[in-house]
Amino acid sequence: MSLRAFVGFFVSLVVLIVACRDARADSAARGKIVLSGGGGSALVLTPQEGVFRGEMTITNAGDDPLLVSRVAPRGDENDVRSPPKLTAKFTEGDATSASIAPHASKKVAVVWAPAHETSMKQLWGQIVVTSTDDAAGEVAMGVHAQAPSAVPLLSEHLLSWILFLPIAGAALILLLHLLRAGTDDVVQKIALGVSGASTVLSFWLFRAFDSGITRADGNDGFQFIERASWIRSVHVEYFVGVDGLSVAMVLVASVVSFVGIVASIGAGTRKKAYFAGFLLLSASITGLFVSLDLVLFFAFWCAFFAAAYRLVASRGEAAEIAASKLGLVGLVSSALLLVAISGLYEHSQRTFAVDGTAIAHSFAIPELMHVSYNDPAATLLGFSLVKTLWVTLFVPFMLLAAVAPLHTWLVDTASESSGPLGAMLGAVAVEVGIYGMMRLCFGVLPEATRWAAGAIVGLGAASVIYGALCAFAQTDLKKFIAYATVSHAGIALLGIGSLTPEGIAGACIEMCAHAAAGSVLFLAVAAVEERAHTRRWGELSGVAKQMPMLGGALVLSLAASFGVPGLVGFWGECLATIGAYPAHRVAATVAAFGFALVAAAHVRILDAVGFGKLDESWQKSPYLEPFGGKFPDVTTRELVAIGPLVILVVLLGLWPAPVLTTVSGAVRDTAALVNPPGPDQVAASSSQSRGALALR
Amino acid sequence: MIDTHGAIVHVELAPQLWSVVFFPFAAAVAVVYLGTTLASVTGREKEGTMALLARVAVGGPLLALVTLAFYAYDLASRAASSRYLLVHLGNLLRIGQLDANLDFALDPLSATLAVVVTLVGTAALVLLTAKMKESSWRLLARVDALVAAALVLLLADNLLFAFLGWGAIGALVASLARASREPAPRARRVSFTTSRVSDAAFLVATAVLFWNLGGTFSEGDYVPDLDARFSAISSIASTGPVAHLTPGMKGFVTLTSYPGAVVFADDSHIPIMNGDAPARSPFVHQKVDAGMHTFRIHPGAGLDDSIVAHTRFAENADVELVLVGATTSFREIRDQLALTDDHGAPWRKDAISSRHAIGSIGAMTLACLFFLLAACARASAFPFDSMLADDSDAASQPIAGLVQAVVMGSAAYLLARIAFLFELSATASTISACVGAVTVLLAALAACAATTPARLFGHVATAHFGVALVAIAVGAPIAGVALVGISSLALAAFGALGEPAAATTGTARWIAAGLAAAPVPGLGVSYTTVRAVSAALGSDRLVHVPGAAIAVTTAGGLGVRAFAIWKYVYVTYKKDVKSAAKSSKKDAPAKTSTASRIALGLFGLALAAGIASDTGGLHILTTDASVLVRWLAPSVPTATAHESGGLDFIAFALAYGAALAGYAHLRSRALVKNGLDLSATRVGTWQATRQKDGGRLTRAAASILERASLLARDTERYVVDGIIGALAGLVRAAAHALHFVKGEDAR
Repeated sequence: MSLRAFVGFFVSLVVLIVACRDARADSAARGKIVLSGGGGSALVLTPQEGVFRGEMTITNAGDDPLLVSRVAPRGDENDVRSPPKLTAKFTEGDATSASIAPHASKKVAVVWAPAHETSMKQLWGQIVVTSTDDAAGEVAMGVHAQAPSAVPLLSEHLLSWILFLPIAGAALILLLHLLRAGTDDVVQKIALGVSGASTVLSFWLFRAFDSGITRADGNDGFQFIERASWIRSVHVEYFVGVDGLSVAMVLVASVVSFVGIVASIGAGTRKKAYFAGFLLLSASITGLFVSLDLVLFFAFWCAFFAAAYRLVASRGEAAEIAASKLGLVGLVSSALLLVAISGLYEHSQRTFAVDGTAIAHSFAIPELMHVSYNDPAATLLGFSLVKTLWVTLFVPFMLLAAVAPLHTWLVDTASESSGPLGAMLGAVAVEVGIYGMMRLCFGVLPEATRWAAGAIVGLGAASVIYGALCAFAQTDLKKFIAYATVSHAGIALLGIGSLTPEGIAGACIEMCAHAAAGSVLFLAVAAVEERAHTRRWGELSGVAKQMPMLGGALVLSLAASFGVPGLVGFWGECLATIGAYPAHRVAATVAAFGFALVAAAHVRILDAVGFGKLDESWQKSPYLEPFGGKFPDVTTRELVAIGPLVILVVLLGLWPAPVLTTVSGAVRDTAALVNPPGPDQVAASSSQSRGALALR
Repeated sequence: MIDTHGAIVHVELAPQLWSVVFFPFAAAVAVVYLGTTLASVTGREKEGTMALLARVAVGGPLLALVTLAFYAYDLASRAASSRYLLVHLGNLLRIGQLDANLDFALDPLSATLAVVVTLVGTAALVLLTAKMKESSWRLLARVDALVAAALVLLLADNLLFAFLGWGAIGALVASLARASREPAPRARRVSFTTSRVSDAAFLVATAVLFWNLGGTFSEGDYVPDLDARFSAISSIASTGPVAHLTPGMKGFVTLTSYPGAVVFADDSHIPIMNGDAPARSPFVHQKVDAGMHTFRIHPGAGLDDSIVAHTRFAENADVELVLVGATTSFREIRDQLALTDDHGAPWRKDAISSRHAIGSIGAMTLACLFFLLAACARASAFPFDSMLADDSDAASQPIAGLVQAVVMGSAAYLLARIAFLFELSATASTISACVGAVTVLLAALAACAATTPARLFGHVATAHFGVALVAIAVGAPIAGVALVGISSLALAAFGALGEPAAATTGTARWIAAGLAAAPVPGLGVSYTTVRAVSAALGSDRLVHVPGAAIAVTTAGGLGVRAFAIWKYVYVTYKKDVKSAAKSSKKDAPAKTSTASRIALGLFGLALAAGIASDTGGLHILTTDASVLVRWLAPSVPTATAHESGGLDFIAFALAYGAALAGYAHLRSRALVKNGLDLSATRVGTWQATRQKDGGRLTRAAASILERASLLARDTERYVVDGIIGALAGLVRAAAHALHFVKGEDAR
């Protein structure tokens, strides 16, 4: 190449570079908006004289003036995002629009003035800025405000404490195991301590929860929200919160976990592995109830099955089949859940992360609840997208809830589990399935839920009857409880499938009821098995007479399980049937009479165990020789474990208001989401109602 | 807004009414607590604990009975339209449109049956505590709980709260049968399962009724009401212009729906006040200025406000705001069905009647049929025959009587309480009448084949429920309620006698004879059965089935029932005479045991109630409504008040007298034939009473009755002697009660 050509090439290159710089300058021709104030996270509003104030800065980083046409909180009266009375205005001129000179900035005052009568203690939202910077589009700044409290470290991160205390306990136990330090006694104390602390905090959570807050009050109806970026590159957040659907279950799960640990003390071997696994199981169940990010939810889902598998498999060779089934259920459900999560993520819409970063897709469940997936043109594998997603999302929860015909894993797992483990898996974890249906299937895909409501109710009614019929045939008490759980899942499905507030509330209280009563059943049966070395109820006739307290707990929990009035199991059946009647009259009627089958299945065992005649051969049993040929009654450990749950069973049976009041707001919101009256229905309803009531 | 009118229920608040249910419930809890401590004490301390336990067990229902008596007196002293006491304890649940509260209410219907159940329960407990063992506390706790559950059902103001009691009754009845003696496992399981079928039917009926009272069904979808609606009913028709009202004139407003709701008048931002605090529902007779007002009712708890516009208040007018729409409260359902417009048209009733549930089946028909199924399953009516008999057989005698009383009472109460719904459905009325008639016949036939007295009277109880069912279905619900109530007392009296061997006492034959002659002991052709059969004959509610068929079947069943009882009397009488002939004179006197006393006491009460069910002492030959009709009519508004009582009373007297005379004649002949001196038998008994039963009053009464008895015997007035014997039973029962309260040994 000649020198001339080289110089010409070099000059051309310089011209090109300069021209590109000019092109970059052209892209800043309309100004370049940059928001600051949050320091990489949401802007925190601080309390000042009864209101919460903060300041963010809008900077024009471009070379041309930037016209900001609108600064406002995200959402409106038809799309409530943050609590009311949140305002954002330029400090200069108190306006919501302004022009910013190149390389200049203006401050925006963000103020939240909650009304005196509101009990909102938190605000999470975004301030959206619309400007002439087309490249950036709408940008936002995340906003957060928190009412001051006495112990902010605790109260502002309550859910994290409840979640991570057991995890920390498990980690500590594993550390001790690795260091080959710590005795079984120390391990037990650690487990007891962290679980007890977590339970106390759960009570605090329940007590502080405001049942009057709904979606219309902002924050999508959630309370005790904690939100921060976790894996920024894929827009995954640490996002937790509770509403009426989850807060009661967090409490019940904590209580059952605590009593399970109490009941486990002194029993079994390999305590470090057991208690670490149990704490992890407990934390993962709580995490499933509080997670508001799909990836976080999935993480806890996998952790749950991992912990459950480990705990069941460690029971011995006989439990391997049960563990394998459980593992298979975990794999299949995780795969389906992952597919569904991916689908939901991919078809979500542009939104903002917690710090206001604009993102094309989101994993945040409250964000997804504002997305409409009901695009008739959208398909997946040739089927309607929303229906396919819904089914893909529903099946994993159906598996975990042990709804017939996907229930067989529970039968094996229940029969091979210890009492405490059975309580966690068979009484509490199954409720995660029902919860998941409500949180995700109902909350994120309400249109498809309406389409599937009939199937849900049908499955529910079928489960009630199928579970009862199978329970009839059982001679093993633990398998009986497993099949009773299938019936209970059916009742919950009946309730949620009704799409009415009454039915959904019935499902919520049924979840609490079964968690409490089912746990007592598992613990009591385990205690009886420990004494008699058998679970065949035919051989245990009349044992309750020799063990009045333990037998009484067993009889009481059986009675609660089939819905005796005055005990906690009554209300779920009642409300689910009433709620399901309007839209599913036949199914509701069939299910109601199916309750008689459930009762018949239970009463055989109740009759035998509670009122039968004790076989005299027990007096000579080698198992009872240390006790003088009689069945010993509850020990202190068992009393501490079973007692609180029995009290819960009776108290909630006589006075269900604490649970029903807590869930009422969330239930109304969920029912309105999945079953809103259409405009034609409202018009028709008004005219027909007028005619029916003869109002003029 | 149309002007609405109607004969609605006027509510009065009774803040302590809850204590009626509280006492037996607290007694049950206390008995459990004391019972669990028994194992840890010995000797005198154990005896003391057992004595305390017995007192607590009996004291709970007894206190409830006293309280009920007080409130019943309070009700009787009020105007007929104001016999409704209400207390609001709290909210049971408020979800969507469903608002159920812990409200207890007492009106004549519930008061009558509550007194019967509590009385029978107390009597059963007295008997049980007389033979108490250390393990008896479980049984006592269940009996107390059963009384409490029955009172919850009878006093609950709404269907959901009542369902709580209904279901608890089923569970406790089954457990009582189980607890008392060596069980028949199949019978228990059938009993319990049938009870759950009853619960399921109750639940479905509640759902059908609730959803069809409000909202609309449109193309398979249900659209709920957007908000609650109210109608204003004024006690004074105010048609004149408002302007003539002078300032300072006051009217009154009453609101008893949506407990906790506050009411804003016109544009005020301050609700109607009660003193310094807002008046919260339920409130009655709250003062407002006379004139025209628009009310905004704010229920709270996320529910929408309701507007009642342009409500006129004349001076001293009491305006009640009546809920119109979906509700589970018995009173609110009844009130809205009673609403009429200016032309007297029952617009609300017409609207509800026209609703369909499934296909062409009316919603009210379906609700009534499910309630009927629930009641039949509970009371062992067709097709659930023999369950009550099995339960009675499996329970010990005092409990069998209580079980029969509670089961019959609860089932009849439910149907009587919703009798106004049967008026809306001829189909449901017809089916109920047919089921009732068939029940009477089948139960009576089963009674003929019964091998034990317990089974016999279990079937008799079922037959009586069948008659009650016919009565309610054909529009004579008061007859049905009266029959059930009085029959419960009488059957409990028999149940109080304990083991079959005790049935050989004369007391049992008295009762059995009375039952044989008529449902009510001592009443020949009584108000209850005559009314039921005659109402069936003349009923215009039946479709496709002639009333005569119902009447004939029912009457036939009653006849078979009478035969079954007379057969029992004859068999036991023969045995009794033979055994009495073999025993010595010393053993000859019939033992005045605790059981006999209580049985005679209940018998006497049944007799008195039977008289009250008819024309009463002062209206013998008039056509005025009987005491019982006038008492119960406000609670059961479909019943006609016109009752022809005079002929019934004469017939009663004749038949009763004939029965007693016949019996007395037979007995005296048999005893004389076997060489026993009747006089000596009775004198020995009086002596025992004077010496041992203590108390000046009882001794004086016993002395007077003894002289009268001897006089009657000498003049061969056996009928009179029979009546004196019944009175003596009452005296002895009172004496025993005194002994019991004093803590002396009961015989």
